[in-house]
Amino acid sequence: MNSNEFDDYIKNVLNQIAFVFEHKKIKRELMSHLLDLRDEYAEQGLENLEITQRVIEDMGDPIAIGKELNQIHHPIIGWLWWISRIVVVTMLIYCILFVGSKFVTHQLANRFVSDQDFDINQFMWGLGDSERIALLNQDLALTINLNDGILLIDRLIQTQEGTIILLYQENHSFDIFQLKDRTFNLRTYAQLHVGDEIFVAQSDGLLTYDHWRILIYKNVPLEYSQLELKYKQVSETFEKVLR
Amino acid sequence: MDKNYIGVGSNLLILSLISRKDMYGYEIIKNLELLSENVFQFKEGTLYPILHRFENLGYVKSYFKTAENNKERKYYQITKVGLKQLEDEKAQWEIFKASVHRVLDTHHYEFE
Repeated sequence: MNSNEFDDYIKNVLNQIAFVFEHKKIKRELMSHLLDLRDEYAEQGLENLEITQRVIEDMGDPIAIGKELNQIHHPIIGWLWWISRIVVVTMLIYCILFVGSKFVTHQLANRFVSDQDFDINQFMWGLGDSERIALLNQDLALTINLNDGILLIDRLIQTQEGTIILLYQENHSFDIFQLKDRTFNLRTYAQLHVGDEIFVAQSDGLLTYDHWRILIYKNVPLEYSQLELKYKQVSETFEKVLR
Repeated sequence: MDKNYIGVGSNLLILSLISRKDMYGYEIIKNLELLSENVFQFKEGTLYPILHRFENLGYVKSYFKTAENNKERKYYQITKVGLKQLEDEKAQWEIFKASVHRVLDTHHYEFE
């Protein structure tokens, strides 16, 4: 918006309003009114300076108006509304990623990969390069916060025989000298829930390529509408192992 | 006119205007002046807290529209809730009006 003689007036109003997200809209509305008043006086042939004075006087005390508007655009209610929108959108995205794209991989993946095809080392080297793997690779980017670091569940693969393979990485924090035992076993604590059935990982592998690890769940039924990965916070158990 | 009277009826007046057609702030003020033959003269800025409160309460919905001369205006449109509120306020006004008349017109006083 172009700068004009009413900018100070509007600034005085907006300064009273704590909820900044509404500032633009309020400025547009008030400015349009001020300009309409200006046009009205201009038609009467008044001097510019007098027009500005009269318009501002007609509009009223900007601080009083701002204070009243502030009461209405209350920050707490406004922020709550924004936060709830963000939460809903995040949850929607998560649901779509988990449930929706499962459907896609279910349709495509099973035609292409069987258990025999899946060789860990071969898979790792082919990661991202092979078109066949790209079809059934599904980026999850699921982050789990542990007490001493982060677990990244990176990808999910499904074979024709109903084997589900999860790839994950760990990022320990402040572990420069690698004092902690790096064979932390997610297998015991992560369970795959499909409908009413619960699947525990059959095996996991430790690989040297970029610290990737693999969880393998066998015999997961291919027809499913919902897939859930549950894990437990393991901080207490983890400390026991160290001691 | 005594400003106190305005406070009582302002919701009613403004909602009534908006119920006939979508209007923007300046338009509402000018129509109030015209229709009331200058009896009702709002201080321009005091209108906006009222309109914004209406929107919070769900009486009106607002939208921006640009006219042919590139002027941008924020229009207010009455909602179903607003129409109901208008009816309620009209009813209250009728009661108020009738009560004032009764007191003014009664010459025989029961309580002496």
